[in-house]
Amino acid sequence: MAITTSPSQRMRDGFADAPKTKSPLALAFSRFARNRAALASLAVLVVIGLACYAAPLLIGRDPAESDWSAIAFPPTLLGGHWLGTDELGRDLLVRILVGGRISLEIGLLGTLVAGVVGVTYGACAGYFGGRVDAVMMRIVDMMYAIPYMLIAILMMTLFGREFHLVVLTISAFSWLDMARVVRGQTLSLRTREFVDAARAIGVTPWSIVARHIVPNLVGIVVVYATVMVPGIVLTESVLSFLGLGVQEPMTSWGVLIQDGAQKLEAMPWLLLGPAAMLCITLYCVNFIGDGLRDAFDTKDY
Amino acid sequence: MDLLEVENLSVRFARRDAPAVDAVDDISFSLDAGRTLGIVGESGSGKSQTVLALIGLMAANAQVSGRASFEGRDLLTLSERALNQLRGNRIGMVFQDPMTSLNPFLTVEQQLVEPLRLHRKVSRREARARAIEALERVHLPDAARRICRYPHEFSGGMRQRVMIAMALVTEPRLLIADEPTTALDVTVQAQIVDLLRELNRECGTAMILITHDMGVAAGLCDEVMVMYAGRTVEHASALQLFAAPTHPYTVGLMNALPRLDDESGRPLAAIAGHPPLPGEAIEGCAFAKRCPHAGEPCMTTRPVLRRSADSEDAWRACHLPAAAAVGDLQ
Amino acid sequence: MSVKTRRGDASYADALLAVRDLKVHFRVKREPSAWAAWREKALLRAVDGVSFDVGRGETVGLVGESGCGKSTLARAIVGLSPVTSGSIRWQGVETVNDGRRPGAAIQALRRGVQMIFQDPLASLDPRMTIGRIVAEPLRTRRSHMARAEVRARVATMLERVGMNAHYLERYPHEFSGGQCQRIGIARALIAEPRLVVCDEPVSALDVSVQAQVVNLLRDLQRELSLSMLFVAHDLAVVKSISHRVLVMYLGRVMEVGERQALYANPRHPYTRALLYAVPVANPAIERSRSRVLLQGDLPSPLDPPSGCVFRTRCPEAIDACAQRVPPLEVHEGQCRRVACIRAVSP
Repeated sequence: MAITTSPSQRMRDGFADAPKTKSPLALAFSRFARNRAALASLAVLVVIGLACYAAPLLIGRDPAESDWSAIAFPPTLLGGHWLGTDELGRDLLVRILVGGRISLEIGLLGTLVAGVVGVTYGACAGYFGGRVDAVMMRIVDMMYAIPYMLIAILMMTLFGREFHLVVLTISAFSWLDMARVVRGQTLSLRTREFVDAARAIGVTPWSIVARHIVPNLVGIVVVYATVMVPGIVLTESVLSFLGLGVQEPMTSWGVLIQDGAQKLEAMPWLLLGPAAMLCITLYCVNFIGDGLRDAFDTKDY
Repeated sequence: MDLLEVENLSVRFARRDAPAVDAVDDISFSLDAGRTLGIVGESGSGKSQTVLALIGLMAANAQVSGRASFEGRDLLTLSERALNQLRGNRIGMVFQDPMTSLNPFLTVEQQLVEPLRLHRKVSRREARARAIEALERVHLPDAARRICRYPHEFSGGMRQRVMIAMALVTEPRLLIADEPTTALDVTVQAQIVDLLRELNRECGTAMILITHDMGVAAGLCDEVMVMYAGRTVEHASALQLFAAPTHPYTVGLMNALPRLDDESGRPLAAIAGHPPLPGEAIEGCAFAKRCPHAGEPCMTTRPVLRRSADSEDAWRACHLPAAAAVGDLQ
Repeated sequence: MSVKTRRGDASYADALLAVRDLKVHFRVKREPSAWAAWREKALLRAVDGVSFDVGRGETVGLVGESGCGKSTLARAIVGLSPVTSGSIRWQGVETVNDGRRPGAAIQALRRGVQMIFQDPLASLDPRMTIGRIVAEPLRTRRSHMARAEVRARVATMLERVGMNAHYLERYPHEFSGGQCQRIGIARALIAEPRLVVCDEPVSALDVSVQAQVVNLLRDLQRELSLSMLFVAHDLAVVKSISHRVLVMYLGRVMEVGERQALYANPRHPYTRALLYAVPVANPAIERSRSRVLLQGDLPSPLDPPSGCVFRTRCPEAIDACAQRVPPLEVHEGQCRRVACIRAVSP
């Protein structure tokens, strides 16, 4: 432990006993875990997810099956139709849960597709800058100017309402926001010294984007993705409301809401059920998004 | 007469699921009117937190204890209102980075006039005249015309002069400067140090200068207090401290400084190890793990700041005799 | 440190890096408002005609105050800043072609030249473990190397810079400034470069840690026979590590010389003012002198003074100084070159 004067001696540091701390990602998630609203929302969402996939099997009823003995029943605890039935005797609870599968799938899949496209597009535009960036962003601006609904109607009318096509149509415009956000973040990341260090080493621009820029975007991408999910689910609901969503026999919350809205006076429970589910789900995603934003927000690094 | 007397000042930051950080750990010192005190230390030594505690600019989660009497009143117990009447009035403050300490949206005139209008009952014209006078006192060229400019139109050195003028415009008894020259080039730094020295001499303003640059402290301060890990390790007159430092940390610091007059081409004498991490529990002397002379009592008992045997105005906090450390000075 | 007499000009065939009349100019908007985009843009002459050599095993120190262009110069050499004109030869091969850096040439240069950055923590990717950070040059340059061998080399390199090899799995934010800089050094040296460009590597560190890192660089230089271009604003640190020193001001070289001689007898008025301004940790000396030789501030690099750029602050300036740019001339033997018509002859 002497004061060093000998040139051949190395400085050793005493960090061996310091406890190992977590990676930035792990730190963020432990911060998330402390946010009770977010954690509760996550739990609720998991329950909803499980319910949508497992419960119909447990209840043992087919969503398309008509129970002729119970037509247009309001919600009741007896008789097994907890949320009531519609005018064809189909159990509402089962329909909501099965419809939930479609809505959640569209939400997640749509977000995934829009997210991947948006991140790639935005990161490239932001990193390469200059004319490439200008051209790419003008394309985005032009797409913003296109009336979305018109395109959606056109595509649905021309190509039919197959499930994957619906996802595609919705994602086709949802990636724009993500691209913009990612581009902004990339512009600021590009000036950081570790990117300079990678360039000085000779790492190719594509490798820099993939290895350095994208991993550092995780925070903002995750947060923005949770903002996108409600938007996509709502868009699907709107499309379904207009009669352009998924086709029979598939059903989704949007379809159910449309159905329920038409029969509001006679059978109000047909609207309230799916609308409530949609609201709860979107609120939960919202809280999770807030929690994630707070978790990733600190300037530890 | 003691202008400022600080006794057992401690600042503690509580942290969630981590041990509390003792940024400042039982600091005591006093400052006479017209004298300059330099607080020297590396990052994490607590020097900035000490003065921030004195003027009440701490973070919300700070727990401050001890006593700091300024002109007879305890700064640590004053209400925010009473503190506001002292700050910018009897106590002036100059911060480190002139780029960010000045409001970019206000002209220099507006910023200089603000403390005057707040603390003195002067008309706008009188305040402007005094502001121009303050700028001239800090040797800002063409003060009358440049006073209506915005901060971004000045260079770094000029901005720091403006900051000093702002601090002095109300003729405070005490000026606190937190690393005033760190962000400046060495030639500009020389100008600012000269300026502060001149102001101290002419206006009799007492100064507390915080710096990590020993050379700046040597040029400006009457007394120097060396801090490490939130504690005072040595406090003596500048002449005495630089000629014969008596604490192993001070000696190590001086040895580690690369010197212009060093012709030998030897490697720099580094201090092994690293300072304690914030929140790390320290048993005994904070420097013991890195000290070449550490002995048994150093590891277990915290050394108390005691008056030096041979001198009235020197204090050190070390279990070893002074002679042990002085011998290491290169 | 052994000090050899070196020449600083092109005839020295052994020079690893030869920079000739390098210029880096940026076009900037005169006014900050965005709508002035089509207005005439001003030219910021960050580096305005710099020439020097770096030989084998030698450390060239580059000093100057803010705005002198030393960082821009360092970055331009490694290809991080665009070059406007001039020549940068690496091991005899030209890497600048009419302001552009042809791919093959710049790749060759990056194989032999690496960089250490100023902010230790910011230069490390916060999302990568330090094992991956240090391994990156190997993965980029020798992508065929087996993973086990990469790991072994990374571990050896970390030990060599004084870090425990167990830290491979840790993240940069867990380390102090000094340790992060050691990681940066390990990364720069792992692919065995011949020249390391250090851009203010110790400016952000505390004095006691600074000394550790400077010593480490000196030791490594000797062990690995490295050349170094050491950019710093702290004259004392530069003195402790360099063989030769270059003094820059507003994009131009004012004086070049062998370390000891330059510090003992500065010939250029700027060098003299700079050395004189450095505070000394001795109150008796400090109090007794007024250290201010230079008044005023740095002129704007957008509008540099005509002729000698230093003349507006120079205590020795005469009318002739405004007429032409003083060339960097040999002075008192081959080692020293000064750009001043008033340079005091021995």
